[in-house]
Amino acid sequence: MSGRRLQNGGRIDRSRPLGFSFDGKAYSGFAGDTLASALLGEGVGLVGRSFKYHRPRGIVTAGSEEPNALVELRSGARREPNTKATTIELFDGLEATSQNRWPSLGFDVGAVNSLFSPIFVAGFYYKTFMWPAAFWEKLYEPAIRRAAGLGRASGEADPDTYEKANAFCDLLVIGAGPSGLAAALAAGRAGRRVILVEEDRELGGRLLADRLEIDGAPAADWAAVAAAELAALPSVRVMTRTTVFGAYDGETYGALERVADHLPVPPPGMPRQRLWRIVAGRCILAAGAVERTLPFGGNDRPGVMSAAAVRSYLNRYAVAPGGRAVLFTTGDDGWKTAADLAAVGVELAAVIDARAEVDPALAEVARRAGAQVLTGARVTATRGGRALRAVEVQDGRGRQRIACDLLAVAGGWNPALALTTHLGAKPHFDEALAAFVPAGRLPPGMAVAGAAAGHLSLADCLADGFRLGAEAAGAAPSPVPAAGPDASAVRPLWQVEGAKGKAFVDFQNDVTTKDVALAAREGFRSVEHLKRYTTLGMATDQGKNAALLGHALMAELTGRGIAETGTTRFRPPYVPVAIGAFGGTARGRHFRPSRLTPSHDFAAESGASFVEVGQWLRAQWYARPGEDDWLATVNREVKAVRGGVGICDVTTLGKIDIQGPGAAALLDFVYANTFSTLAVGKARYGLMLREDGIVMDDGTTARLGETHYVMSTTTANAAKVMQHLEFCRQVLRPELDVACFSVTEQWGQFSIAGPDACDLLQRLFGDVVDVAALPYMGVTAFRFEGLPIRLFRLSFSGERAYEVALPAGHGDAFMRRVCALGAVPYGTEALGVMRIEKGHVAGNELNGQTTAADLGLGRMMAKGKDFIGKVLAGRPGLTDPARPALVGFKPVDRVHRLRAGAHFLRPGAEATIENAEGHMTSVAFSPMLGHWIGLGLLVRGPSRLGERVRAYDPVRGGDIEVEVCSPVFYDPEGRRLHG
Amino acid sequence: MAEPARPAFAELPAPAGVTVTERRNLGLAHVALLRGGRDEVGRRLKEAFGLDLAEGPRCSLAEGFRLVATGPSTWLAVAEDPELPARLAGLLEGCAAVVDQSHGYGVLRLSGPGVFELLAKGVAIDLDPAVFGPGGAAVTQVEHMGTILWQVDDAPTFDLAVFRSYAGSFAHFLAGAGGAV
Repeated sequence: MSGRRLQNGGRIDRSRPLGFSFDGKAYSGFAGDTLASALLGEGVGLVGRSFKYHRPRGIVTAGSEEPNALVELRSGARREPNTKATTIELFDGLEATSQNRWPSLGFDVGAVNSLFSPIFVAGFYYKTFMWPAAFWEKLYEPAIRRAAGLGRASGEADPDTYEKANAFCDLLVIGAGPSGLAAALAAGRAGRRVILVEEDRELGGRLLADRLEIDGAPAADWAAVAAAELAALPSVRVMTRTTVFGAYDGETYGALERVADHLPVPPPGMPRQRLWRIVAGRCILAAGAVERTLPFGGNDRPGVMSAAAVRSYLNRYAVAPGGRAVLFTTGDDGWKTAADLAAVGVELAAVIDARAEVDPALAEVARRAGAQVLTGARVTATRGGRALRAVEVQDGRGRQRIACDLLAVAGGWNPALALTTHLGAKPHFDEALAAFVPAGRLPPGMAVAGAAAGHLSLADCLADGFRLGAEAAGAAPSPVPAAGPDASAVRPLWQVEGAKGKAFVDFQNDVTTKDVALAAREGFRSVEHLKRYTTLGMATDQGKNAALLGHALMAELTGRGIAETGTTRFRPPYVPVAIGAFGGTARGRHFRPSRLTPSHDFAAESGASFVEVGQWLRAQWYARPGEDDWLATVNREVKAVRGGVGICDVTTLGKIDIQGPGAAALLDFVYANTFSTLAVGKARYGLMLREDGIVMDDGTTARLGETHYVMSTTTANAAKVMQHLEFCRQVLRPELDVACFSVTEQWGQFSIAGPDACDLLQRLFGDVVDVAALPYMGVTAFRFEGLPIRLFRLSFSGERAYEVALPAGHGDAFMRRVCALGAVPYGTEALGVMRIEKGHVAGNELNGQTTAADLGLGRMMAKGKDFIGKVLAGRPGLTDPARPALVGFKPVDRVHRLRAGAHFLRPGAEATIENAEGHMTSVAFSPMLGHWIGLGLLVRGPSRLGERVRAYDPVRGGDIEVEVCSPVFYDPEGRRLHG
Repeated sequence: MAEPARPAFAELPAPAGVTVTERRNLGLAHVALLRGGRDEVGRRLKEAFGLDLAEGPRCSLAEGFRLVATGPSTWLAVAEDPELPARLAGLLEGCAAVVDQSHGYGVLRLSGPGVFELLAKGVAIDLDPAVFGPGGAAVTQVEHMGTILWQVDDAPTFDLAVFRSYAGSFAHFLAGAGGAV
């Protein structure tokens, strides 16, 4: 490869040289280079090895459609595989490494795969490596998996940050080439909110790469003037280094802004990338078109390049990608490359034009440059090892070999229409253009301009942009500047007769024309099957520059036209997007928000350990200095409550305020038991069922007034019950005059429990209210030190207990004050131990499969009213007496530990799932009994008290005998409630 | 508890171009219409406060307080006076249900030239002056935290209300979103 930097020209800044390394070797380039242009300028042509066959590969394009030049960029934690050298902006100190080769790019042992290529055809893993069968799982599959993939992730934590942001506009213009600039100008001048998004760092698109004219002056100058005008328009926002990667429902587009990727390291506080959600009233897709390659043998050799890319390197980067060039073209467009090569003095050996006749004016350009012109001809193969040395050409007169180190290929243009298909539209094959163009039901509000719509000439691009921009803005059309000459005529060439050697139709996944033929032979004839069977189009480039060749070949093989064969639909993202960008700031601890209780700071200061309950952090236990064993801490807390008084923050349980004349009726409707009969100043335990008769939630609901109740729910179901009530109120019972409010956050709520609880509260509130006189399940409201207080006498622990509700901002002070009065703080573990000791059901038992009867609460199902779940709860399957029902369990050998999840088996029964008779739902070590206890669901449990069954836990290796007993282990008569 | 209530926000970030303060000691209440109460509620509010009840997702203003629409028949009342919820409950008895939420939410005021850029990072609603503007109101989510927001003036100044328990996570969002767009 003998690429070199040209002395003059280009849009690089020769006053700012930059040093970089590739595969450990030092090179230099200039500000304004991409890694690809800098490598070419330094004469480097070999940049990678292909996926399966490890064939030497070079740079093919100058844009984000690049299939071959994938490198690992940076080192250490920031190393990113599969970055395209053609889009990496060069910075000083850049480090890049080639991929998929060992030990080196020049000498890659993996190239031996090429020798075995007959085995490694498409779908080989369905047909080979099958025997012996055991070897597949242990040897073949792991080996194939290891060989798969391109590049290596760093494996270290990502040190960069990502952000997400939202934007809104009247018009989103995707692409800032001639069409996009025109559209943005038209709409921006009319005062519309416009967002113009461009992948590149500069606006202009191919105006920066081709030598075109607008209004008699270089087109790049027009682009600069347009960019300046857009920057000054107040309602226009220009986003460079940003790619729109997807079209979504609701006129919403996803875009990735590469905020700091062009810098060695993001400055502090700057995210590396930003993911945008853009909602656009209208959208104009002006994403241009991608040049196709052609299916000749060895079309993947380093030195074979897109003709348009060659122009980009010559004109934008002042790099000649070779010293002696051949052009292979199917249309007038490719001849622009011949002219550009000649203009900078690169030797042009020959122009191979597939058409029978060529415009004499064009042929003259070649002859003046000393090049042979062959018409009705084609390149059939390339020669050279790791770099192109010659091409084999065939025409009517015969074959010849032409020495060259650069083959510029102009195979026609594919409109970049991927975004039009993201919501399901099917493109239409345009015979005249020999390409698919946008068609069908485009995303709502989207129009397509310029080359993306198949309008390839500069004049058409400008006209489209100004017209569609004005239409989108509802403005009068503005004058269109005059475009200089541009060429676009093309003759399609789908097959090269006499091609020798592998002809690739997907470079990145190493798919050849032979694979397409294999797929056709094996019956995978639809393009969607072809894609999955051969992996054509499934690499990171989504087959942008060659997949159509595969589809055209399939059309030919199956005797159909390309239009009938069709093409595959594209799916977002249009270019690869780092997963980190989708995550944004939701990483680690901040994956989701946390909810803290009013007493959180007190708990943290007291050394509490926290447990996540949904988004809430709840104190699990309060270890004292010297307490190393959580079980010892929990036992201490339980004994402190049962022996004295404890305080627990129960704010997280849902609280719903229900008001209005219809409140009582709503409660009777959603609860299985009756609440219209509840007296003012009393609370009642309620059971809520689902429509299908299964228990949904439980809680206590208090009546504060004739038309005023406050409901409590479990922590986990708070939001769900609130939604449920709203659904019942709005949809099922709209005639009820009632309002529901979530007040979980308004009230801090604390459980104060134990034989000394009444005393403590009497000391605290005694001047205002007679705490001792409050009956069990009573509730009273009063003011204390200027604050509204609600006092409930409820017990989850089985002790004499109260709940105090007060405005949440005073919760922390209340907790501290009550502790100062002698209460011991206890957490969710101790709370759980005590409720298990009393046989109270909780989330483990309300598991979405249990009925009221299963839980021993069948008596709560009111007979005299209708309620949600009543009818379906009566199904035979739900009233079967053989259903597993709630009972208690003790280990026969009291030293054994019980495990939740263990299945019950009759002694002597074989341990199969068919013989299982239920499972253990909750377990705890009971400090009051001195051994482990459990609750569980056992077939006909309540009639089997005293029986012994086996608790079988194969997951953790548990297998012990347990005794079936009452679920109320402690104080079965409930005397302590009134203690 | 004779001490004042703790603020909802322990610490507040200082993003570039934005002043962030907590609005404390507010009287907040949720108001929900009862059957057929709209006209009566409008009449009583007009008589007691001179407030004209607006339609749609907007604020209705009176001296010292505003009603922020949170749905077709619900509002968040926001007042400088902590006694307002009780006053409203009494005033609207029979035509609307009122519940005190003064401790249920933390309310932040964001003001300054950088506010739109900052909010763009978490609010998926078009806040452009052409479509939102002072008096606009929205019920939305910011980083999965339910948020009620309204625009106070065109400085621009926005108030955002989130559940008290989310205060720490919300402040974390504001701190992270402080960089320029």
